Amino acid sequence: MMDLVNYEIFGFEIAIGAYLLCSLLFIFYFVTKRKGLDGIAFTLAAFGFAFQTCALGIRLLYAGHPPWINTYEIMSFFAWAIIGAYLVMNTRLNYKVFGVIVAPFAFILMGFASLQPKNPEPLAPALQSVWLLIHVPIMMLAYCGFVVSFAASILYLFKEKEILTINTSDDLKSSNVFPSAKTLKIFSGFTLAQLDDLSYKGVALAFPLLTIGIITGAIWADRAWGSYWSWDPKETWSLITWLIFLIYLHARTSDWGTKISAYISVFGFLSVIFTFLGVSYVLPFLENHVELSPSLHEYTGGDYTAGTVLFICVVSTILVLLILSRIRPPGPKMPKPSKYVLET
Amino acid sequence: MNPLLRLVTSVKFAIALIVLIIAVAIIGSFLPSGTFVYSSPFFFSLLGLLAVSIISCSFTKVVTTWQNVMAPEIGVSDAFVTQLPCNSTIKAIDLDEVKKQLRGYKFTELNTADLSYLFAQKGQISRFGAHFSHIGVLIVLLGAIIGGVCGYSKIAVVPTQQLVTVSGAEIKINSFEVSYYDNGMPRDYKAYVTINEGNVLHNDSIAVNQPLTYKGVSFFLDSFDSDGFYRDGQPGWVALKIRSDPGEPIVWIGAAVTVTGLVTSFYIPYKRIWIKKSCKSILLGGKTNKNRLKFSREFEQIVANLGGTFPTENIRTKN
Repeated sequence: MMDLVNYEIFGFEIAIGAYLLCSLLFIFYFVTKRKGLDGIAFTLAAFGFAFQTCALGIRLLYAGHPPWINTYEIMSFFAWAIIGAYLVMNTRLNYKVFGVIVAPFAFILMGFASLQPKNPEPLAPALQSVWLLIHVPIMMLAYCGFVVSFAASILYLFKEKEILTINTSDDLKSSNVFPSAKTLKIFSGFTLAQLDDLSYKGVALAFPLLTIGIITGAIWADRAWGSYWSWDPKETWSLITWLIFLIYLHARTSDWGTKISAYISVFGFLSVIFTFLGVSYVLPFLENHVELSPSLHEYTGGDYTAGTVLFICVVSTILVLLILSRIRPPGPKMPKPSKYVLET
Repeated sequence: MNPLLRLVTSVKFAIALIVLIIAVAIIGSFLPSGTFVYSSPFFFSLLGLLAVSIISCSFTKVVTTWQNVMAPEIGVSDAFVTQLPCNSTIKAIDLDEVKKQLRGYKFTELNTADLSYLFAQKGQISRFGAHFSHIGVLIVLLGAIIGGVCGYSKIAVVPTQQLVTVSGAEIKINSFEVSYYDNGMPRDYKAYVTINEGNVLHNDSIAVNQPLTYKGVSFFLDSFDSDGFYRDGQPGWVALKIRSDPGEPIVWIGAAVTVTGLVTSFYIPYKRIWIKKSCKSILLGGKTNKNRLKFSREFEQIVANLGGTFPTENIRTKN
């Protein structure tokens, strides 16, 4: 037993290191556009994923339940799932550049996980349900879809900004053919249309899954608490996320432009993160439903360790600064890229 | 159309309502014990307006959708076809050859003196997916209203080993068992009960995740007398949550309809191809509501199989 724990921690630590290196390489690649770096970073992600798969497998063996019960497990599992989704995406087409969003995201989750108590806990009575095996993976897959959509939307906003900058600075006469060699190099051939399409595909995968996830959660809550909906913060925030992506879908049926879509997707992702983390760590008002079956979503019962809080503060500050520094709305007279015919 | 009706059926109105609902939901989640917000008249009015928006939108748009699918516009102009996101011109061949390339499509034809029109469509059900989802959401809301009006939920403290009547059921808690893991965490709670139905006794049990349902009323474990007096290791009382919700099956039906609609509209693309044949050439144009890049490749393949070439500037960000 003790050996297994050590192997698990070893696998986890290798994975965390691999994801960190991978993130740094991707960021370096993103800034310097040096060829070949993305390939190395991608290999590192796959390497970390292999180790983490073993770590999660070992944990499944000795804990005797799927590795998504306490905070450490669910964070690690989410990181694993998103890296897995990223690797699967790359088996079909070259989406390596997405690593610049996905890898740091996975690393942050892993860093968060590493600060949590790691000892496995047996299943509380309310968690002993078949819905544990259905609800959680569905939600994780939905979240992965939203992460993909977020990554595509962020890259869309980056690329759009660069196109606009180049377009205005060079004062191109014919603005029909605009992506310059520079942007093409960074984004390895993605057009704005493709990024927008991918952002939509992420939502198209995730939205029905989120709906099913909310419904299965409601069925479970109905069995465990005797109420399918009780405005528990997790329920409320999952509904908020659902509603934001509902706006995303309706905005697309009207011609509001792909840029609005990208912004809504980013907001939706922030809501996903808040649903996933903020509900347990930011809202300190979680009330237990009933004595025998407290909220299933308090993972380890809400650890307010100084390290965790500091970690969240630092990471969110860096993210906010990054977003603010990179994504500014274009000036009033900028042309709308969606009006142009893009290269194939 | 009536300006009020136009407002209510517009997507902007629905989005404005959703934004307001989100705002209220966020406020409620941040307020301590903020769940009262969700039963406030303001929140209910927002949900009511949303329902009105969905109903009016569905009623007006489902008719249009039906007409578009059942009686599509076939005799289109050249400009209409060439403005479609995918379009091409090939040399005139028999339209049956074209049909062979369009597997799984449903055809509608129109012939005039010198022109032949062929309209091909596939995945028409996709167009109704959104309507299904809208109806599903309405059914969920209806079920929730029925549950709120006709249902009840209460906590009853039941003394152990005594026959008591709660919500029309004569029930006796014979024993209450708590099992623990090695580390002291509770593993399971289980109440063994007897129900007396016209002097016929049924033995049953209630556990977490396994409520007891009797005559449409469900019994859930809520809490137990953990520091009270123990006779034979039994707590003095067990609190049961007793709930009757006639709206619940309706909620699940609504949920199923919503999911069916979503899957239909997300995973079945609606593809339309307009074909216009003159004596010299055939003009083809197509569009889809999902996965445009994939469709344009399919279209390209169809055109290539028919011996034509495909214009290069075929992919636009919008159709």
